[in-house]
Amino acid sequence: MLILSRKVGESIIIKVGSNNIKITILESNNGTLKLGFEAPKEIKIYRSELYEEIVNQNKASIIDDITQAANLLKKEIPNNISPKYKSINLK
Amino acid sequence: MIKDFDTKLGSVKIDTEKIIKFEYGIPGFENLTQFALLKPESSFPIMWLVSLEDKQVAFPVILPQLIRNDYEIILPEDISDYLELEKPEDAVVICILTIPQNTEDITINLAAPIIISLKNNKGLQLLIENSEYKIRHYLKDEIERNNQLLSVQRDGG
Repeated sequence: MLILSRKVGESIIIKVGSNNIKITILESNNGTLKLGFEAPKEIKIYRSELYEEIVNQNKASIIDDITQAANLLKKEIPNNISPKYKSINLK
Repeated sequence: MIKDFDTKLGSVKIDTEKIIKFEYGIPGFENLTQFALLKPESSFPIMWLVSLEDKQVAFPVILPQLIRNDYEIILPEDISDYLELEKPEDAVVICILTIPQNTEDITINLAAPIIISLKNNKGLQLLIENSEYKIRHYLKDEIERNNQLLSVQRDGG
């Protein structure tokens, strides 16, 4: 692991291919750091715990006996979709 | 070109032009990029997002509106550009189910839906932060909530 020391107001740049990601230390308060990120919008930035939780959940959803699982689920799920709502909105 | 693929659901014939490409991978499965959405009648309304590269990998998925009638997400512009979406109908939104041994504990991931473009056959798992949608919603609670919502809609017109 590369270790760098930075003061408030200082930043680092991570270069990924032709993309630059700039991370600035904005504030330090009782052990909590506030970070600012500047990156192209296709670079997605997440809190590690959220990303890792999704990784774990995705892995947990892989099951061996898919027939049994499907039968269990079918009993639980109603089959009534309402056309009232659409599920995505485009910005 | 129609090709045979070995999947968790057995051998399936898929038009290679219709393969769903997850170029950025799915968290935890970053090395897999080619998927298909299978809708066997026997497991309806559950569908399976199956890997065409690793036959062990199949995600049980469902249309979130079946579980949560008012499910709604906003796609950031860069994502709808990447998926070449012009209108909401250009995409299929599905959510992954986690099915443990005990059916009481089945959960649905509403915080990280899978979006598949019908325009360019690209797919991705969107991570939604800071919303009412969580990674684990108990299916039982959701269905109960949904039934209440639907009965209000019926009664209220």
